[in-house]
Amino acid sequence: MSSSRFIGRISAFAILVALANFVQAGGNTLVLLDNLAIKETHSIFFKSLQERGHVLTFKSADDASLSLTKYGEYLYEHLIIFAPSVDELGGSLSVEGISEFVDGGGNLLVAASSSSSDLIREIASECGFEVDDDGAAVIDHLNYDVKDAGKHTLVVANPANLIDAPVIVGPKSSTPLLYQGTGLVVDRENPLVLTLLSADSSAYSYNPDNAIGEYPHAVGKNTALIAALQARNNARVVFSGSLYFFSDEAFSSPVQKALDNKKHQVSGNLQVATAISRWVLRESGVLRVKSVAHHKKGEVAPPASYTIMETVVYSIGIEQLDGNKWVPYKANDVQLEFVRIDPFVRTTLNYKQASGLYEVTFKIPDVYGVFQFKVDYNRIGYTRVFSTTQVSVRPLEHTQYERFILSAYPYYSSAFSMMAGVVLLSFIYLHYKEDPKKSKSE
Amino acid sequence: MRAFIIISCLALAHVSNALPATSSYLTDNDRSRLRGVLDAAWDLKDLATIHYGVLGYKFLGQAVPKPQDVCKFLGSKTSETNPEVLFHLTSSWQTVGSCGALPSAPIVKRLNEVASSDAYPMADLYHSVLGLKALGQRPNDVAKVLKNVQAALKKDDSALSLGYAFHIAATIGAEGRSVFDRIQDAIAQADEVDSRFLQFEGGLSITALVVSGSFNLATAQNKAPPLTHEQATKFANYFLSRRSVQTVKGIYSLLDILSILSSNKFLLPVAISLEGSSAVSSTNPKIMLKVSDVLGKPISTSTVSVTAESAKGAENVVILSKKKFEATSDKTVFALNVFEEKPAPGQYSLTVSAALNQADSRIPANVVTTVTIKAMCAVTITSFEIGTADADQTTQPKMHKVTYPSKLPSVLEADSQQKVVVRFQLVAAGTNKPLTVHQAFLRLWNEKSKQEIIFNAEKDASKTYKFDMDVGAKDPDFGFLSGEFHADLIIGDAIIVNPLMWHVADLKLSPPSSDSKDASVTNHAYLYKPKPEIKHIFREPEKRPAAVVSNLFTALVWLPLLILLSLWAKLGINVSNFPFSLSAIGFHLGLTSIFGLFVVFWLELNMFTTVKYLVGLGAVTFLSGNKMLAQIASRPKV
Amino acid sequence: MANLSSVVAKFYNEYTVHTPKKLKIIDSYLLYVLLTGIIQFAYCCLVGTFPFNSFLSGFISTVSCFVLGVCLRLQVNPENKAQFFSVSPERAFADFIFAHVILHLVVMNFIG
Repeated sequence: MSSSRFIGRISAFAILVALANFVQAGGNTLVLLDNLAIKETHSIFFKSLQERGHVLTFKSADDASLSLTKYGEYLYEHLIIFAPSVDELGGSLSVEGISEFVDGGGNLLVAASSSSSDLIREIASECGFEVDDDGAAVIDHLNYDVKDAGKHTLVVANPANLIDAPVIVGPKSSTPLLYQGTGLVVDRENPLVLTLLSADSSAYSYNPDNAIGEYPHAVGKNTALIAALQARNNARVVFSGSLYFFSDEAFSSPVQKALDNKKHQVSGNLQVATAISRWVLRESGVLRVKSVAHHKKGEVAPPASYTIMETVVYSIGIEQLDGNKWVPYKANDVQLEFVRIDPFVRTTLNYKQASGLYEVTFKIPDVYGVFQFKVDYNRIGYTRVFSTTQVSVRPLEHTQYERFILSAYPYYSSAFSMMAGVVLLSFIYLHYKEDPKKSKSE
Repeated sequence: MRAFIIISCLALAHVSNALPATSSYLTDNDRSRLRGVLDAAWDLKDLATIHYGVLGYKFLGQAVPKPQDVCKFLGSKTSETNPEVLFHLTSSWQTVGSCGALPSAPIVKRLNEVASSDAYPMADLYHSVLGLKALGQRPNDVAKVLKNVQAALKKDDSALSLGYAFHIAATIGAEGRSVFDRIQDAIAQADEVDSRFLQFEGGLSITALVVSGSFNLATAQNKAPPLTHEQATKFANYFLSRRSVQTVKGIYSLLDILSILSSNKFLLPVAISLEGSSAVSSTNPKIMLKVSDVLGKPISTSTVSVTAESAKGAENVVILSKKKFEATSDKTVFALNVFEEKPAPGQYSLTVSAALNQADSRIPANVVTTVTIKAMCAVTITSFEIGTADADQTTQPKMHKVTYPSKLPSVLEADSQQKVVVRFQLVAAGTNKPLTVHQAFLRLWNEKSKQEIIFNAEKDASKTYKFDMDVGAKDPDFGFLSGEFHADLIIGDAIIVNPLMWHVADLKLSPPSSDSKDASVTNHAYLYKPKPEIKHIFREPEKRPAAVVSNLFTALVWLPLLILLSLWAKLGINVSNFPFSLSAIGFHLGLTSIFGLFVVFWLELNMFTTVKYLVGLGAVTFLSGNKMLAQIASRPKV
Repeated sequence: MANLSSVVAKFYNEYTVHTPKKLKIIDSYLLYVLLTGIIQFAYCCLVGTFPFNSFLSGFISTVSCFVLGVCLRLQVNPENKAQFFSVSPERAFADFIFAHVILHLVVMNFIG
């Protein structure tokens, strides 16, 4: 009896451990909503997150018990804010708290709408985006859906306007997307900000009920619909101007442009939203350095230092997160730099199928000093891979220079000649006997 | 939004005694979509899902696919004792109908046991009572069940618990009247959202459970539920807003409550919705309205008269009032030709009331709603001109006329001292009245760089759209514009039927001479692309002379030694003074070997061994040299 | 011009007659060293400084030999006896040899 209970306990424990691992794979996610109805209207999206192992905690955005931290530790890895109209966050949460959360490596997904609050606008500007004014909606009189309510704000977004980065937005597709919401303006000076989806040339963001007075904030392709940021700490932020984009309705609606007869049975929103959520919740495009090795050609261990012009073999293992495990990452554009303040060599690493490592063999320059092997792999959508390994490069030793050079033979000869001269002189000079005839001849 | 609410309030005030209608109903599209979601039940994994799938299919009037497989799955659950499982089992068994006889005796016994025990929570009471109902049975001890229900309500009077209680009471029948009074409490717990919806916290399932329980209980007691038409409509609004529900249980809840709201004896919310487009134009002059119950069926056997109370446009211009809609072949659809009122293009809010021609207690005498409609027109571009002018406006601009949809045949060139000028007018086709549009943009697009700049054309007092672009001015984002551009005119508005993007002309812009290309656009490319490879350029090996030159000079270097020997020969040298002493021989041999050692040092030795040998040789040489020199010194001088 | 040539002729005559043979031996040696140095220098000018260390050693070796040779000549010249009163010709020669040993060691080390 007692032993069976014990076994039962063990298995319960094992399940618990397995569960804990599972949780870790997905990570805790706090979902803030305007009202809990959004949980129902966006159920497909949330369900897909839960099916991928995320533990979602739904809270109303003005819930007085909100807190991202407990005892100085973050309770959540990811934060989803689907609360476009919330004026003030509840509990201890604030805009500063959210930017600290991102600074601390947390990931953030925010969806706005045509009636976004100033709070959402503040969060956006912290991340390098600008949400258009209250009431402004993306309008496209040439590309609106047949279901549009009359103001041409239910926009059919062209999948060709998605960023060319399958790791973020999924594989290329020709299925149009439904979008209803406000326009975003991205800071074009900030290279970390990416426009994931932009509007067509004929679109603009403005209040559909007001005549256009000032130049709209976002016009044509400059109108960002969904924008992303991968911060320098690899924290990811995605900002969508449309909450509708993630809704069950958008996921399951057919798409047909009002001025076009082509009907698509279902929009591409589900695929793109899933891909984007995978990216922002760090399921895709996560890389890390597994190992770094370098040695002289023909040897295996790294030397204490290299000598100029030696041939060196450098290898680095880069892994990509795939589900719960790390698998080798394959690409053909990983570059190695050999740097002393400036790069002296920059070469592409070759992926070796057998070892799963990137490898390159090159000749060290004829310059000595303290060098670094530097791999700085920064591609759109991937976490930045940055690895430096410092080595010192010595000049040639005294004995390592070239000798017996043909063109120096005259110099060698003269030096030997000088020695011979001294030997001869010493012999002649010391033992010369003054010729008595000399005075006579005089 | 706020403006809309105010308008609708005004409209409501205007129509006396009218109650709001809900603005949508369950369409055929919705039905087929819901059916698609219900299909998840037929992979036969989960009993509850199958139960709700079966019920949902019944509401949609569909036959259960592969009933044998479903029955087989249900048959495997007959020995369960959990009341919830038994409830799902019995209810779906009976609903499928073709599973044959259910071995019901042990189930009835078990369910009665649960229903009359006070150890089970409200949910289990609900499952057991409704399970019994599915088997056509009443609980053995109705009084005990009611006592248990009251006890459970004392412990937990949440909306969910009340909802269960209502259903139990409704099933029991007349004895359930003690619970009827609780309906009012339950309804009071509902939250109002946006003053349009009434819902319970917890969403669709709970809201549907409470409202359907209330109606069922009211039906069982044959007493009207304590709900107003307005509340019923707000609940209906909420349920209809949840048509995109994605769970099987949610769909069952939705279909169940909508069918109750369209067929009960007390309150039937009326749906007035636009059928088809909200836009009227010369080709489509009529507005179609559907007046129905929440399932899209006629609300009553009686005829309905539908009246357009008013239609107000911008600045409250009223274009029609009190016009009757005509009936159409569809009993629920009514039509009104709005376009014959010659509305100016724009948006109108149309207030519509519907009244039954024969009174029906379940339906308000008069319901009203406001829909937004649009009067559309086609736009025509007249007198489009594009040209160039000096930036300082000293000369008349040179303008070229272009007619839609052709393109200016020549390329328009402009330099930094000039500006590009565009003038055009927009009129409504047919009436030729000047038209104001929301979007009148000129887009410049560079095919090579994909650079796109969009300018807003402004309308002046004479209703002419115009637009000047100073080529010499610097755009803060793009720097100077230079190169070849397509000029496209984009005209768009929600009220025009033919929005257009017209390739008007090709432009060639020359930048100011001092222009330097702005690099800000290349930021991303620089950061995320592979960088150009760098190959270290090794110092080139020094140029070496030809071997023959080196050899020649090697020989030449030895020449002076010959000269030395010959000079000495000429001087008549001799070594007659050589003493043949040990010291003399030792010295010369020593000196020669030191230099010999140096040669070996050069060839292969290192400094340390060399110095070691040198010390030995040096000592010998020094000693013998010293002695020899002393001998020489002591020799008498000539 | 004629004046100059007569001066040279006179100088040459003076040299052949009055200079001791021992000094002439050293002078021949100096001429030999000088010529070797000049040839090296000419070679270097012709083909460039590579390898520079070899050139330096070779050339410095000749220059140093020349300097040492001149020192020896000065010290053993009977006419300078008064100046190098304390230095006997033998001592001068010993210094000469010692300097050479050191010099060539350095040259050999540096010549590469």
